[in-house]
Formats: sequence, structure tokens, C-alpha cells
Amino acid sequence: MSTFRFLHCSDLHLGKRFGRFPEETRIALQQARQQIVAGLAAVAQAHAAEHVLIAGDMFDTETPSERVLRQALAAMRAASDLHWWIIPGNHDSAAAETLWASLAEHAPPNVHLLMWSEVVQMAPGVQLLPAPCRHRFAGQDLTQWMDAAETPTGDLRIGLAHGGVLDFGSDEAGGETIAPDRARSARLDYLALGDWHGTFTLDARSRYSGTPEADRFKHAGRGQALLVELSSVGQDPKVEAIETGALHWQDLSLDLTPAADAGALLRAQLPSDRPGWHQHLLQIRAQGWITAPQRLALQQVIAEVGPEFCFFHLDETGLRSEHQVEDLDLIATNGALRVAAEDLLQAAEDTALAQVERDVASAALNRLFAYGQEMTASAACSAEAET
Amino acid sequence: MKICAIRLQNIRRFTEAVEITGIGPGLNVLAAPNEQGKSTIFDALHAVFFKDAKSWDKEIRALAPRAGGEPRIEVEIDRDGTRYRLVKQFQKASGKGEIRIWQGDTLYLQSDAAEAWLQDLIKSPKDGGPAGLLWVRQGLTDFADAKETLSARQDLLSSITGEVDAVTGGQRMDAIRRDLRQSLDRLVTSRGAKKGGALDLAATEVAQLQADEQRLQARVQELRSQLDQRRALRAELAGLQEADTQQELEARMQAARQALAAAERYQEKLDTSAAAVKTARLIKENHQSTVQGLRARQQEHMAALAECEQAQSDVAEVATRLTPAEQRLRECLAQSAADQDALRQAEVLLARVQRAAVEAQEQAQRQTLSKTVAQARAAQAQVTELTQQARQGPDRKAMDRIEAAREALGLAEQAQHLAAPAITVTYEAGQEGRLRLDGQAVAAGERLSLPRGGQIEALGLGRIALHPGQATTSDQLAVKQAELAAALAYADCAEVAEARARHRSREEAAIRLQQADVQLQALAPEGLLALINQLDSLGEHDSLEERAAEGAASAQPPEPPELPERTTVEADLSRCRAAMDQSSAALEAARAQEATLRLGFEGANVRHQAAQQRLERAKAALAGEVDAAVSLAVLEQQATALQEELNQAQAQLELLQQAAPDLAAVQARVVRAKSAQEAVMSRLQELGRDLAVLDTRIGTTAGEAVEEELAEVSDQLLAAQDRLAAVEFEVAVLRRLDLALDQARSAAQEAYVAPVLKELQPLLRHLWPDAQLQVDADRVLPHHLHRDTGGGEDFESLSGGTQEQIALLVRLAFARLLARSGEAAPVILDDAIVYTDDARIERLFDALTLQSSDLQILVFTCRQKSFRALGGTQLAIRSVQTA
Repeated sequence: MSTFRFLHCSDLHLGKRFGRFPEETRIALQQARQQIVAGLAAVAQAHAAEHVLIAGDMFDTETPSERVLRQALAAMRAASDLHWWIIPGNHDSAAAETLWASLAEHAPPNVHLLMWSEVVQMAPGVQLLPAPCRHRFAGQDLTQWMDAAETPTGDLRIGLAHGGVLDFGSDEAGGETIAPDRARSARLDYLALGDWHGTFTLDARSRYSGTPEADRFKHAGRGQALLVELSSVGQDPKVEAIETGALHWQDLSLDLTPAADAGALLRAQLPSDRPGWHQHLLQIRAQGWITAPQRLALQQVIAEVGPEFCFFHLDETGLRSEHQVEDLDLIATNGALRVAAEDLLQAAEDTALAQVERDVASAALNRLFAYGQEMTASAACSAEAET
Repeated sequence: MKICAIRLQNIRRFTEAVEITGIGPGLNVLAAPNEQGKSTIFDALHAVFFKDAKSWDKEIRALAPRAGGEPRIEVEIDRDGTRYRLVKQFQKASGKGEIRIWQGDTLYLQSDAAEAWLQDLIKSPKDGGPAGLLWVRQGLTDFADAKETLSARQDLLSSITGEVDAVTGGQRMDAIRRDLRQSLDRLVTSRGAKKGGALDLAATEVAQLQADEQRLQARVQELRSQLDQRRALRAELAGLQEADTQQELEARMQAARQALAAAERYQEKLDTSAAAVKTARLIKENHQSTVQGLRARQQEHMAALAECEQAQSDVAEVATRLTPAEQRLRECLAQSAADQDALRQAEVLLARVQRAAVEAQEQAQRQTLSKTVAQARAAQAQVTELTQQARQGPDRKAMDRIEAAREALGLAEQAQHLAAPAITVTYEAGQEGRLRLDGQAVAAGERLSLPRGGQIEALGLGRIALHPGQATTSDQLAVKQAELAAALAYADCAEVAEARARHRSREEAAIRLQQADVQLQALAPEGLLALINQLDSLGEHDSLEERAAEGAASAQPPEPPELPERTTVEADLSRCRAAMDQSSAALEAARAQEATLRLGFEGANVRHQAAQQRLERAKAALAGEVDAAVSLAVLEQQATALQEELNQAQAQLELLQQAAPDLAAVQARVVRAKSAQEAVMSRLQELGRDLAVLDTRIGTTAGEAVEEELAEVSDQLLAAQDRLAAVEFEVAVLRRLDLALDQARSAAQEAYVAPVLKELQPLLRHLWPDAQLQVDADRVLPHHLHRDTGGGEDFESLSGGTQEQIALLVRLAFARLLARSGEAAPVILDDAIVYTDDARIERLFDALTLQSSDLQILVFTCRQKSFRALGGTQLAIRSVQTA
């Protein structure tokens, strides 16, 4: 037989709301998600793949809105030359009867809802072995049945499942149930897995496609789908990861020391394609010790570049302030301001105090420093203006 | 600390090394024209004491010459008598600058240790004090805003302002606190979060989201519960609709019905058997009652026969006893009549005897009574007579009247006698009796009263007439005499004696009358008439008795002339009565016996009749029975057969009962089977309805995407909580900073304001002996100059010269304060005295000179001429090579 080509994807999580993000970011995230079905169709068509396998969690919850559900189906219907093979995942398990009933009711003929663990013929000579999640928490290896499943000799066997692999992990707590050697034991030519949001190769025939539109900082970069090509039974598949996501997620750490040029270090971490920043979600976890001037410098850089990003967040929880005498000098070398600064410094470094009190004192000192700098800058400007 | 020398190299215009040496401990003056580098020296001094040798900041860069080169500053200082040489070499390369401190030719300290030593040197006496600012350029305040800095350069006051500001935080602190307060006010009020502020909004958002989350969780929970419920219902429905279930129910129903039919048939058999037992029992019972009836009738006949015979025998027996009793009764009646006759005769005789005795007694009574009547009549006559006598003569009252009148007359006569003339005659011997009064011889010696006069005849001699002279006494006497006469007349008596005699007779008659009455009373207590009547009645009785005797005599045979003795008669009578009593008792006994026997006889007859009737009835009852005993024997044989039949029927019934199925249980089984079928049908309908309702509900809820909404809200809540925490942290930070600033300012004011004011006052008096400066205690700034000569001015209104003089003194006061604390710092004045006129400058110089005795003062000025008069050590900037 000729080669069989399909697109493997999973974890679309349509309808996800991203409540933790600011309003503008959420809108961008939701729009990108809702367009992903059309995006996948385009990729499949572009690569002459007639089938798209969705390995679970097409929807984020068991009760997506009608709008989300119907628009997804509409996009699938629009790609009428493609076949969509869909199993319920843990987020949209078969227990969500209403969801699947509604899907069944409105699904176009090219959409195949695989609700049972039974062999389905995808195409002549190609058998699909789906392992739909019956419940949110399966509690058992749903792919086990594949070992004993009979298919016509010489046909390709493709497994489709959702869940973590026993010795590898899952994006969901307690979701590790699938035997890692299922592809071998069930004589599968390919096992299309879902649940893990990043692309992951378990073995030559077992892969996680990851989500086509990334949704968390845990898996950096853009979402992907896998273009899989099976030539014949027993042959390893040819797999190509294709970037499908519109938004780029990145989680960076920024280690700072009191001597470092914090602003410059931060700038160095920023993506190079500045025009594309509006499609970037960037989270920088700063850690280490910095001085008040460094902190000011960081804030200046953030104020400068942050708004250009789809989302920009500097996580300062790992960042501690180191207050130096020189910094205090910048506030005042003597007098009451100096006394106040030293009082705050002492409190910030007083291990007898509760951490929260120390943090407050440290932040207060930073604030005093910022005031000092502000006034000095203001004075300098005024001085220049007058001269 | 005192500065002894300064050396500079690569400091602005001084690319070559220059120095100022010979700086004395007191007043020093560096007078030079402008642009000679005085300010550069100041900046260098500031840098060497305040800038880290490693720094290369704006200030240090500003010190470097335009042509290039790295600033080197050397200062010689005296600290507590020891001289140190302090060298700072700033370097462009980061962190390469150096500091060294020499003690003579020996390197005393370097690097960080040297910096620390230096910090200690310029350290303020107490935290927050003015410290080194005293000896850096006048008016330079590092952090004041630009305008302040500029104006500070213009006059000394402004520099003081800066200095005070440095101590108290001043305007900078004010600005910071103002901003802080504004920031806090935007967030909180005294009562909590400010309405509409960021804190309030964040808290409200969190609360709102929490409420939303709870609401959505409830809805999701509800949805899940509905889904679970629907699954359960569907499973149940499927189970109920399964063919097996239906068939099983039907089979159960059929079996139950068959069992019921079988049980009902068995029941019919049981009923038949029970009826047979019942019939056999009835027959047997009927038979028993027949036997018992016959037996009873037989017994009754025999009893009646016996009773009849007994009654007959009783009648005969009573009759035999009745006849002699009747005979006895007749005898007793005859005896009783005889005894009654004898008794009557005895009684008649006794009556006659008694009558004779009564008559004799009555005769004696009549004689006694007649005698008494005669005596009573005599007593009666005596009483009448004595009564008459007792009425004669004066009674007691009349007698008393007479006696009273007589006594009164006696008294009157005695009175008259006493009042009347009296004579007493004494006779001569032998002449006795010769005098006569009214014819009667007068006795000798006797006093003779002569109330009515008299006539004395003296025998032999003549007569003497005596005439009474007192008429009144005579009248009274007459009255008394009349009264006595009247009393006597009333008593029908002539004389008192008569009256007395007659009265005595009357009294005696009364006594005798009383005695006669007593006697009469004894004789005739009820009066004479009653006595007479009594006597008369006795006389009448006699006549009646006589008449009765006469009547009886005419009817009765004449009485025997002699009557027996009464006692004899009474004894006969007693005997007759006893005989009578005896015969009466015998009669009564005979009557009672006869009556009893007659009653018994009649009773026996009645019983006999009743027994005969009973016998008749018993015979009638037995009529038809040929032979009762034979019949009874036959009947008893039949009873045994009947009992056997009954036993057999009962045994059969018991057998059937033991094997009988439980009909109620079988019926219940049918009911249960039917109910189960119905329940399934009903449940199927219910499930259909419930599922329809659930489908609708689930469809509605699911279409609203509640789970997505919940996920979104939960995420939003986390973000909102972060934001709230951030705002709360911000509030805490602002409050903490505000507190730190407030405490620092209060401490600074406490530490410096009062002491500086104390140092300032003597300095002020030095310049203005007649004036007092009022100082703003809060800011330690002069604000009013009060002059004793009159009036005063606000500080701002004072001339520039006065202002700078006052400011200079304030600065000196600070210096003095430091000196007293043992940390004397040089006071450096850079073109500080600009406006002060020549006259006033002298006093100022005096003040400076005075202070320089224990303070090092460095005066930099471009007013060379004016400051020539200041004296002090004159300084000069020299090239090192030159030097």
C-alpha cells in the first residue's frame, strides 16, 4: 500500500478562558485557541494529510459553550476533504454525555467521534484502535485492550489514547496509567498520545503531539502538531513536528547579583524579533540579590518593553534586596532621612523579625530610595533647565 | 578633627599638584579673587571625605580635568593630637581607586579599613546629626531640589535651611511624606480601605470573584450531581427494561397464581371435612340430650311418687295427734268457765265486805267533823267580836298624834313655867301652911310658877294677886292645848289617860284577835264554810249510799245478816284467782297445741295435693314410653356408635389440616408478585419523567459552559488575590516608610533643635545686644527678630546682610554643639558673607574670632579687602613645586 499520512494532535482545550491573565491577554489567548482547528486543517491540507487524529481533550471542560462547540465543528465541516478522528480525553471524558450527544448531533460526516474501545477502519488497510476516556479519572490503562485486538493481517494499526505514561508522567496529577511499551505489545505502527502539552517522543512509534496552541509556560515555544507518515506495517513512522501555534510562550529565569547590570541582563533575555513581541508571552522569574538602584533599573526596562508583549511578567518573588551603605548615601548621608533609611535597613536585615516584616521594611527602603532618586533626577532636570 | 593641609592633583584646573598648608587650629582666611579655585578646593574636600575611593560617579567625574587624568586628593588632619595624612586616588577603571592613611611615614590604614576609619571620623555625633556638612561648601545640599540648591548658593540662610533640612529631613522629607500620605490616602482611610481606592477595588473584586466562584462551583456540583443522577436513572431504566427482568416478573406471577388455585382447592376439601365433623358432633349432641331428657323424666316420676307417699303418710300421722288435742281443749274450756264463776262470787263477797268497812269509817269522820265545825263557829264568833274591839279607841297613829300634842303642850307649859313668875315660900317657923295659892297651901321651899298669875292668900295677912305679864307664851300654850284637844277629839277621847287606856284596850284586842284567827285557821284551814260543806257532803254520801243500799236490796236476795271476815274473803278470792290463772294457762296451751296440729294437718294435706299433681305430671311426661329403662339402654348403645363416627371425622379433618398449604401466604405471594409488576411499570414511568426533566436541566446548564466559566473565575480569583496581596503589601510598605520617616524626624528634632537653640542665643546677643531672635522650633530656622528698642521684623523682611549674619550664627551654633560633643568639626565658609556692610562685618569678625578659640574656621572669600580686618591665619594656594 501507499504511504498513509495523518496529522496527530491533542489537547486543543477549546474554550479555555485563561482567567489569570489580564483581560487583553485573555482575549488574544482565546482567539488563538478558537482558530486552531482551522489552523490544523490548513496544515493537514498543506501536507496532503487526509486525516487528523485528536488524542483527547479537544475541549477544556465537559461543558463548553455552544459557541465554542459549534464553531469547532464548523471549522471541521469546512475542511470537508479531511477526516477528523476524535476521542474523549480526561477533560472532556465520555462521561460528559451532553457534550458528546451534542457533538454527535451536530457533527458533519467527516467527524468521527470514537466513544468505544473498538477497532475502527480509517481507510482501507488502516485500522484505528481508540482508547477513549470514559471518565475524568480513568484509574486503569485504557490501552490494554489493544494488545488483544484483532485486525486484518497486513493492515496498519494505529493507537489513539489520552493519558500519562506510567514511568514518564502526565500533565494531570495521577494521570499516569498507560504502559510505556504499549506500541510494541499491541503491535501498533503508531501510538498517537495526548495529555502532555509539549511534544514528546516516547519511542519511535509512541509520541505525544503536545497542544497545537500552547497554553502554559511549562512548555515553552509555540504549539505543535505531528505529521506522521506510515509506509508499511512494522516500519517506524516518519514523524515531523510542525509549528501550529500562533502564540509563543517563554519562561525565563534571570539571575541577578548586586554587581550586575540588571537592566542590561533583562534586555539580553528578550526575544530578538521585536516586531513579533505582540505574540509573545514572557514570564521572567528574577532571582538573587539586587540593590535598590538595580531594582529601579529593572523597572525602567519593564516599563519600556513590557507593553509591547502579548503578556510580560517579571516575577520578583525570588528577588531579594541587598541594601548597601552606598545606596543609603544616595538617599542621604546624614540627617533624619539617613536615620529613617538605616532604621529600615536594620529592620530588613533583622533576622529576629518575621520575614514579612523584613520584606515590608526592605520594600519601604526601596521606595525611599526611589523617592530619593526621583528627587535627585528632578533636581538635576531643574538645574539643567535653569542653567 | 582639624585640617592641617590640603593637596590636590588632577582636580579640574589643578592638573598640576597644588597645596594649602599651614592651616591653623583657629580662624583661617583664604582670600582670593574669583576663579582661583576656592570652590574646587571645597569640592575636593567633600569628595575626599564623602566619596568612596572606588567610586567614579558624576561628582568625581566632575572633579577630573577636562584634559583627562584621575583626581588625587591629600588631606592632612589632626585627630586628638595625632597627625594623619589621608590620600585618595580616584580611578576611572571601576573599583580601582585607592585610599591610604599615613601616620608619619607609616602606612596606617588602606582600602576598606581606611574608608571605615574615615567614616568613623566624619560620623555625626549622633545618628542623623549635621556631621561633615559644616565643613563643606556653604549652601551645598546634595539632595535638595534644584531651585533650593541654587538659592542655597545665593545666601547663607539658604545653606542653613539646607543644613537644618539635612538634620530633620526637611523639605525632602516633607515632599516624600506628602507623596506617601497621598498614596496612602488613595488606598486607605482611618476606618479601612478607601472607597473606590485600589485596595477597596481589589478587595471588592476578590469578594465578588469568590462569590462567583462559589456560585459556579455550586452550579457545577449541581450539574455533576444531575449527570450522576441521570446515569443512575438510565442504568436503572435499562435494568428494568431488560427482557429477563420482565419474564422473571411474569413467571413469578404465574407461579404465585397456580399456587393460589391449588391452595383454594385444598381449602374446599378442608371445608367439607370440617362440615362432616360438625354434623357428626351435632347428631351426637342431639342424641345425648335425648338420653338425658328421658333419664330426667324417669327420675322425676320416681321422685314424685316418693314425695306423694310421704305426704300421705304425713297427713295420717298429724290426724292421729289432732283428735286428743281437740278433746283436751274442750276440757280446758269447761274448767276455765267453772273457775271463772267461783272467782266472780268471791269478788262479790269481797266487795260487800269492803263497802261495809267504808261506811263505818265515814260515820266516824262525820262525828269528828261536826265537832270541829262547832269549835270553828265559836272561834268565828270570837274573831268577830275581837275585830269589833280592835276597832275601838285610838289607833297607833291617833295615839302618836295625841302623845305628840301632849308632849308639845308639856314643853309649852314648861316654857311658860320657866318664863312665868314663880314663887318660892319660906316659912317662918311655925307658920307653915299659912300661905295659900289659889286656895291651896303652898309648901315651903317649893318653887311655884305662876304663868297665869294667881292669887296668893297669906293667911292672916291678905291676898296677893299675881298678874302674868307675858301674853305670847300664853298664846303658844293655848295653841298647844288646842292641838291636844283636837287630837283627843279626833280620838274621841276626853283625856290623854282615857286615850291611853282605850288605845291599850285596842292593842290587846288586836293581839287576842290574832290568836283567835290562828285557832280558826287551825280548825278550818279552808274556811268555816268549806268545813261546813265538807260536813254537809258527808251527810249527802250517807243518803246516796242509803239509796243504793235500798235499790240493791230490792234486786238482790237479802244479805246474810253476818258478813265473813275480810281476810277470809280475800284469801278465798286469791285462791279462786290462782285456780283461774291455772285453768287459763292450760286452756291457752291446749289451744296452741290444737292450732299447731291443725296447721300441720292442713300443710300435710296441701303437700299431699302438690305431690299428687307432680306425680300426675311425671306420669303424663312418661306417657308413651313403654319401658323407659329399655329405651335408655338402646339409646346409650346408639351414643357410642355416634361418638365413633365423630372421632373418625375429626381424625380426617386433622390429617387434612396438617397437610394444608398457607393460603394467606400464597395470597400474599400473589399480591407481592402483582405489586412488583406494577412497581416496575410505575418506576418505568417515573424514570421516563425524571429523565426528561434531568435532560432538560442538564441541557440548559451544560449549554451555559459553567465549568469553563468556573475555571475562568477561579483563575481570575487567583490573579485578583495576588493583586489584593500586592496592594495590601503596598499599604504596609507605605505605612512602614511613613513610620520610619516620622520617627526619624521626631528623633532628630529632639536631638538637635533645643541644643542648637541654646548655643545660638549667646551668639545672637553678641551681634544684637538689644534684640532677640525668635526661632521656628520645628525647623530650627530664625523667623522673627524682636528689638528691645521697639518693633520687630519677620526674618524674610530683614535685609540680606542681617539674614546672612543670623544664618552664619546658626551655623556657628551647630559647630559649637558638635565641639561640645567632643567631635569638633571645622567650619568652612565659602563666600558666605556677601551682603554684610563694613560696620556690621566687624562684629561678625569679632564673633568668628571669639568662636575660633576652640573651633577651626576656614573662611574662603573673594572680598580680599573687607576680610583683611578679620585677621586669623592667611592661607594661599600654592603649587607644590613652588612650595
